[in-house]
Formats: sequence, structure tokens, C-alpha cells
Amino acid sequence: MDSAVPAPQPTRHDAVLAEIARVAGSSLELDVVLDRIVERAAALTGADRTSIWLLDRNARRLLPSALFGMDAAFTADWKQRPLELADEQLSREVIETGRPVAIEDAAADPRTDKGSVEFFGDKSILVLPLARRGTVIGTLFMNHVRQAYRFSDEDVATAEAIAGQAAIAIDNAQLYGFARRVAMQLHRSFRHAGEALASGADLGRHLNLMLQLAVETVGADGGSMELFEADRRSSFAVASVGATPSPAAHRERFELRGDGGPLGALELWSETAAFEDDERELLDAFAVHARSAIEHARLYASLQEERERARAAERREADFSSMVSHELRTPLALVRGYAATLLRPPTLLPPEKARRFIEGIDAAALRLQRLIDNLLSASRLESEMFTLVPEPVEVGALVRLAVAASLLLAGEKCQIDVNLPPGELWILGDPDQLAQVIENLIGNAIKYAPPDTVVAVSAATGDGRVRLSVRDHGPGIPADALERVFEKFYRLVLAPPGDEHAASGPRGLGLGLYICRRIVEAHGGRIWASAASDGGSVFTVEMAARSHLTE
Amino acid sequence: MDQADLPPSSAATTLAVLAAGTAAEKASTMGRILIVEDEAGLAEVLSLHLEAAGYETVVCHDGLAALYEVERQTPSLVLLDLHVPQISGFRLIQLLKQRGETARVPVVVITALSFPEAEDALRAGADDFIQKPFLPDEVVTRVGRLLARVS
Repeated sequence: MDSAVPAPQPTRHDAVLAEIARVAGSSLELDVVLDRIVERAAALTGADRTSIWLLDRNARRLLPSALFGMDAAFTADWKQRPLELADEQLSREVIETGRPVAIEDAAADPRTDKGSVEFFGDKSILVLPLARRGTVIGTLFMNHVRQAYRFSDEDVATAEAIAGQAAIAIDNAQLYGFARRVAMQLHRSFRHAGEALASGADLGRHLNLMLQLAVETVGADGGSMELFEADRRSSFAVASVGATPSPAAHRERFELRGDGGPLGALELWSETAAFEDDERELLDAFAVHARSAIEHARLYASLQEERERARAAERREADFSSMVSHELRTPLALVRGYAATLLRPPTLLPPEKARRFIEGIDAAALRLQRLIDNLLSASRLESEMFTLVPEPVEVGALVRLAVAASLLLAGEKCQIDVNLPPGELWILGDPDQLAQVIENLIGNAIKYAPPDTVVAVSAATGDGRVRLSVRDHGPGIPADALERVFEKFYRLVLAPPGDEHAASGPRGLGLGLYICRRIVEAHGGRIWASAASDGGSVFTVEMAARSHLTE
Repeated sequence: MDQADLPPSSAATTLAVLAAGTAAEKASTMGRILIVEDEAGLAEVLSLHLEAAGYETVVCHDGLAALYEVERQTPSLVLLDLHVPQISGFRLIQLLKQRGETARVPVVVITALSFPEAEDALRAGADDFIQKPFLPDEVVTRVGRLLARVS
């Protein structure tokens, strides 16, 4: 029938354990857990005063961690007074042996602190080790004051069990606290990595803060961070925390590895104990944060550079369009000014002056035409549509045409001398483009030539090559600009320092010589500038000579 | 094309018949315009039209020559291209505005750009600007209006 088997009556020992386990598991806050344990331990064993002492990191001092049996004010004060383990004979014995010590007569036993015994009126004391994974982390004291107590084996076993539960609870709470602190530190570290990205600046400061956090988190004595130079052969320190490590310090080094290879290294050191596995894992996490902060900062710096380059290009473009505006509007102003003067009724200009004005209009229009030709050439030369249709070209004819087209620009300002060898000189090329080269060179020479000077155009042949030179008696080109004058948009500006608007001479767009070089090189030839022996500049074009008859 | 070697009054004689009286009489009443322009053709055209309107004109082809000229005789108004050799138009405005005798001489700048050059020039102390290309009559009108306001 219903013969219920009576549940086994729990022993006192079991009841104590169950109670302690319940208390120990009730919270993950270390202080709360310890307070509950000492309170329960007293209630369950009949002790008058119970206390828990925890060893510090270096196992040198005992930290008063929980106390039951004294008032709150006393307890608060008590917690402020750690003890040197070396001075505590009783605790030292328990910690060193890992075994409990039961003292029935506290006043007589040589191991007790007589001052303390007298102060509290202790009669009997039971001290238990708090052991975690084979390591003693502290002690549990159970003090009997009202009457001496003879500790039975079962009492000691129960107390040991309480201590065991307490140790587990402490372990859990410490791990939890540690984990939470680590999570917080990692969060802060990550924030620094993020801030390093957001600000782009101050990478050093963020790395220092992250290093500080890493050092705090694992309780290291110091740390340093170094980054490799671009060549990866040398490195430089970017962050450092704590004092220089002693030769005996335990060091742990973590490589900061980026996507493109090693970036640097993070190193931490401890003077007392080597880092444990879980601490190494944590430091790895810091290393990852540091790495991403560095990579972010570098990315930011490269973005910054890119932006700077884009801005410079924008500036060049803006400069260019303002120069185009100048160069177009000045001849236009001449055309309109001359025309308005000629049209003004009644025209009383003497005929020779009127003729000069009409020539002025023509010259200004030619300036405009050359400018527009160069603008169009530059874009055509750069487009993929650019093709060269070479045909035999006679250099003498080419030069004479170019000179004729430039006479209007020379006006009365300067004279153009042409010096060609007898006979025909043939080259292979696009006659229109080659004409543009020579016209540009002659136009430049006229622009820079002082009044009443000679611009000399000459050609020569030898070694299967044709050389065509245009020389002027202008101010000349500084040696360091002889190559640069062929760069796109490069303009030789001769202005007093601090007053760049006071550029002397013609300004131009910085396209003419660029176009010349592009065309000549597309023809397989060379073009260069040099200083003339008696001042001024010489521009030379060299191309392969062709015999017309073999073509 | 270079008119620099001609005396300032020679251009005036060609159109002076448009105005009553002699050029010299006109100059004393209408004022003396300093034209600072390195483009010789533009300087000549401006000079012609201003003289036809009764002003006396002096042409300088660079900023330094202009500075010597104002030292020699303070003009009634300066017509100034911003891009001239030796001393730029910008610098010249600053120098003129710093000198006691020329601080109140109106300056009209000639520029290819309304922005940012003309604005920079106005900020530096220029009183008006004329953009290239311009009609000479427009310049004469602006000069007259500015001089009327000053006197």
C-alpha cells in the first residue's frame, strides 16, 4: 500500500552545508557573499565572532574582508587594517599547511596573538584555510568568547565544509568581479580605439590610456608599446606605463599584427608573478584593440593625405580657370577697346593710328586663337581618341609658315631671324601638330623677348637627325626650372617675394610647352630647354630625319 | 603698339575737339587720372577715351613706376590693373592707402575676375572695380561718378 519511505533526516552537517551553499550562491557581489557567509557560519556553529581574511595578490598581507559579531562601526574600522602575514603565526600555519587549526584554550596556546585574545576575550578559536583550486586564498576564523569550546571532529569537518563553500563563493564572486572589471576595461579600451579613429589625432594618448587599462586589468607593474617604422627594421616607443622592469621581471610580449603585417608590439611586465593564461588572453584582447586603433589612425592619416591631394588638385584647377579667365579676357578687352575707339563717332583718329588699332585687334584675336588652340590641344592630347597620322613634312616650309603666322605677334617689338641649311629637310609627322609646336616656341620667345631684340629660329641636320632651335634674348630660365617648364600648368613666375601678383612679363596658362612635349614625344622625338651662352633661352626639338625619296 | 614714349597729351589732341576748350584747361578742372596697365594697347585706349572726356592722363606700365608717379604728383584717381609687374595692384592699393597724401585718392581696379580678386581688392581699399572686357565709355562713366562723389 502506501508505505511512504520516510525521507532520510538530514544531518546537522548536511543542513549547514545546504544553508551555506544557498547563501554562497545568493549573490555574486563579493562583499555581500562574505558578509552572509560569516553570519551564517556563526549561526550554524555557535561561534561568537567569525571573520574572513583574504591574502593579497602577493600573498604577503591578510586583508580583513568580512566580520560577524561586532558592531558596524568596529567592523568598518577593522576592515581598514590589513595584517602582515609574517606577524600572524596562526594564520601562517593554516595557510602553509592547508589544514585547519583548532585551539581550545586561546589564552594558553603559544600560537595565538595574546593582545587580540585579551581584547576580544577569546576562549577557543577554530581557523580554517580557504582553498581554491589547490591554492589557499585566505582564512576563516571562528572565535568562541562566551565559553571555551571543545571542537569535535564533526565540528571541524562542518567548519571545513563551510570554508570550502565560502572559498567557492569567493572564487565565483572574484571571477565575476574580475570579469565585470575586465569587460569594463575592455569597453573603455575599445572606446579609446574608437576615439583614436574618430579624432585621427592623438593616437599616442589613446594608446597610452589603453596600455594603462591593460596594466591595471592584469595587475601588471608596467608596460610599453612600440611601433615598427615603415621598413620594419626599427621601431619607436609610442606608449609606456610604470617603472622600467627589473632584469628579473616576468615579461609578456604580444605582437600587434595588422592586415598588412606586423605593426608593432605590446609588452607587459610583472615583478612578482608570471601572467596566467586568462590574463594572457585578456592582454591579447587589448593587443587587438591597440592594433585596430593604430590601423584606424593610419587609415585616417592616409584619408587625410588623400583629401589634401584632392584639395591641391582643386586649387590647381581653380588657379587654372582663373588664369584662363585672365588670358581670355585681356585680349578680349583689347578687341573691344580698339573696336569701340574706332567706332566712336566721329572718328578723328589719324589713319595710321586707326590702322595700328586694327592690327591690334588682329593680334589680340590671334592671341585668343592660340590660347583656344592650346586648350583644345591639351584635352585632345589627353583623350584616348588622340591619334597621329604621320606624313612626310619639309622642315623649312614648316618653319617659314610658323614664322609668318607669328609676325603679327612680334609686331615692332622684335625681329624673327630664320636660319635654315640649304636643301630640304624631311621628317615624318603630323604637319598641323608640328606647326603648333614651332608656333608655340616662337610665340613664347616673342612673349619673353625684351623690345628690339632678335628671336632666332634655326634648323640643322646630322647623325640622321633634325634639330630645330628657337632662341630668345629674354630673362632666361633658372636652371632648376629647365625641366619643370614642360609640366602641365607650370608657369615661370618671376615675382618679388610676398607679392606673387606682381608677376613680370606674360603669364600664360602653363600649357604651351606641355603640349609641345606631348606632341614631340608622340612623334618619337625629344624637346628640351637650355640656357643660351649669352643670356636668354634655347628650346630644341630633335627628330629622326627622313629621306623624302625613300618614303 | 607701345605708346609709352608719347607724351600723355598727344592722345588727347586727337579727340580733344570733342570737348570744349583746350586739353590743358580741361585737365585743371576735370582732374588727373593715373592709369597703371602693363598691356600697352589697353592703356592707350583708356587714355584716349579719358582724355576725350576731358581728363588729363598719365600711363605707367608697372607698379613701381606708378609709385614714383604718385610721389611726383598726387593724381585725382588711379585706374589700376591688378596684375602689373614690379609691384602688384594689390600691394599698390595698400601702399597708396597707407600714404597720407594718397589715402583718399579713389582707386578703380581693372580685373578679369569679379571673384575673388575684385573682392580682395575692395577689401584692400579699392573703391570700385571694372571687369575685363569693358567698354571704354563705361570706364569714363564710372570714373566721373566716383570723382563727383569724392568732391
